[in-house]
Amino acid sequence: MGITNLLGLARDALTAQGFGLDVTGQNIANANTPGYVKRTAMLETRVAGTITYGGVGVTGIARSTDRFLDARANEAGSFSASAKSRDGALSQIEALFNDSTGTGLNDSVEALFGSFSSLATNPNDPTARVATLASADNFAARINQTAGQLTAQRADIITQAQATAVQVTETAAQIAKLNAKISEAEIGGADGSDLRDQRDKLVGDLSQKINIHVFTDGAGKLVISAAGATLVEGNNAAGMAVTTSASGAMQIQVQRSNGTTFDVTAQTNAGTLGGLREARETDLVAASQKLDQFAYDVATAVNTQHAAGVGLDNVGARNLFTVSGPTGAAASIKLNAAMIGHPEYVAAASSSAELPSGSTNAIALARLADGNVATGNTRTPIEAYSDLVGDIGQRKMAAAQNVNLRSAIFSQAQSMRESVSGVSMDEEMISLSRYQRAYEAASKLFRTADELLANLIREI
Amino acid sequence: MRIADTTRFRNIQDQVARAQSQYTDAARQASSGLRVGAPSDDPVAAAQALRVSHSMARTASFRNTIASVRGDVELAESTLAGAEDMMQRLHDIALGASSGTLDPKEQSALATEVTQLKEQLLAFANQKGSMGYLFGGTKTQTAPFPGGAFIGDDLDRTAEVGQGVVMTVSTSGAKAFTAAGGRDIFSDVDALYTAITTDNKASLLASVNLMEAGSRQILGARAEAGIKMARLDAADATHEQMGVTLATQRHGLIEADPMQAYSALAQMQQQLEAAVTVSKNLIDILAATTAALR
Repeated sequence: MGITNLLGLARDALTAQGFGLDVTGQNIANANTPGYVKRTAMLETRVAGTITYGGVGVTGIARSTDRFLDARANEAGSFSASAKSRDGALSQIEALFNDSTGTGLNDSVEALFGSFSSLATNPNDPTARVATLASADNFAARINQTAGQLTAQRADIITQAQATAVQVTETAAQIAKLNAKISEAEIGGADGSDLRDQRDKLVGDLSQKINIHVFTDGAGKLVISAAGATLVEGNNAAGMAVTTSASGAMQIQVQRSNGTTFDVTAQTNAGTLGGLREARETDLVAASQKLDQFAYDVATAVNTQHAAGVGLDNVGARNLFTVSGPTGAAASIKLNAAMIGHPEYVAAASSSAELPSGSTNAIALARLADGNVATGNTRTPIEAYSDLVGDIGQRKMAAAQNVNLRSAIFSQAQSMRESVSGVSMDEEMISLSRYQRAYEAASKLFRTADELLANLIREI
Repeated sequence: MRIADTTRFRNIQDQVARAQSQYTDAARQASSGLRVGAPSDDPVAAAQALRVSHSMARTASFRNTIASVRGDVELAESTLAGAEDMMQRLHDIALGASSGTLDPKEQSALATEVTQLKEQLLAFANQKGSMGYLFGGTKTQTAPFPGGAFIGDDLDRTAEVGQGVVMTVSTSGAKAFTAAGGRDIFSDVDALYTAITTDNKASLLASVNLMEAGSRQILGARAEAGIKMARLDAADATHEQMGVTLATQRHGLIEADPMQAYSALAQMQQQLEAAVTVSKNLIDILAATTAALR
């Protein structure tokens, strides 16, 4: 024990408290940096052999993380992202069937049956006949448009999913690179905290795109599986690709660098990709099928009735629409080409006897509006259409509720994670004062030791 | 729980965003007057509103049908009333001619009058309405009695005047003027003319009865047209009432109650202001601790 020891103590203290200030400074500087994890300076008493020396030493920096909370927040984020992407896609579907803003099919359906009704009162009036053909044409065109927009949306979702898959591939490659860098840095004795922050943030980003599972291998490197297939393993990363199958279904694949691919479509149930898949393969498919069935049922019922009557030229057995299906009916329904430009072919009369002004068949056509001709002969056309709209509304409502629920859970999980790893300015302000005072005291200690030594030298 | 700064700011953001979205929705309801602005706002009500709208459209189309056919039914009724008057006059002529001796001058005057009355009667039988000849059945494009012989048909023209209610809206010329209704009136008038010009008392006596029978035949047809008018009017009144009921139902399903919408808007506005004020306080507290420790 001596004065020189005192000087050593003061030196260690200045270094340690300075380090504390430095770490506090990092925390303050990065309070708003995404992915930044709060750090703490790790100090301990310096031990040198068996002699009590009493100094302070810096052992490093501690990152405040909790693997479990991180995983929970990532999972919650994954589900929140999938709920949002599905909701976004459903908003677009719903917009196609919103009759309160005039975008639905209701107007054209009413116009079709309304024109049959007018025809029934004026079977011999050329205007009423032309109007019937025009509203039949418009009815078919509106359904074609809606079907076209649904198809376009299916293609859009694929484009979105492909862009997401590119992001997944890039993120996976970066994580693999960071895996390598972190182990290099830490083997070399450097602090890998910044790199670990980056890596954790990338894992969080990845979980927004697809459902992932994260493990740590023996060497401390992350192993990430995406939808069940290994995406990152140590320093190696696989790619992700989105394609369409022969039948047009969305396919999500993990592609290894050696050329092997794994289809993970069925396991992709979260993240943006999960949401897009559900919207495309469940919601859009349901909407398309219902629209096809509706178009097919109405066209078939109208055709059957129309063919039962005769036109002004005393010829019957003509269809008003051409349609194939039921699959693809919404895209294929058209006004029968043979009817175009021939309003006199419209079969208002039921037989040649009641020509030209009998309207028995026109009345029967108008009455299809109240007949159970759709959905397996159980619903009227408008009931079938209202079922379609109700179904889409129900899906959109459920999706929106799911967004609220999932966002709330995600927010909660984030708060939990931040309660461990987030920076609190209050805390940092206190740390700042604490290290500042300790640093001042260490300076004082140094000065005291210095003065003592100076006195001693003077005495000698 | 330890609260990190990011948590605090995110919570503030969430709360303000939530209050803002609720306020926007309340503003949409108040300004558009629609509670259900998209199917997802209330899928059940949106689907039901479509079905109610359809009933409204059907009701409106029934009323249109009634309005367009009623005119012709009314015209048929008044035309037959005119024809009935002609028959009355022909009956009087037959009666007068059968009771005394006719001098040639009288005979010729009566014959002329009969010819004129027949022409008038033919004009009535060939009356056109808004959708063509009234009394030709479904042959509305050709005059049914070009010279007295009927070339129309006895088929009904029908109209749907209510859900599942199809009624005959044409008035049968065949039943009013031809043997299909009992007597062929124009042949009977021709017979009266011959009886007058030949002063055949027996034929004239027979004609008196025939003219009366003809008059009754037309009266019968006219009464039928009157009944149709009454039916159409009754159906129209029902539809009018139904239209009001359906509109009210639709209103209840998708439209917003203005009082409720405005009070909700005011409430949401207050909530938004409160969220903003609370957020401001939280930020102030944060600034205060930072300042205190400086």
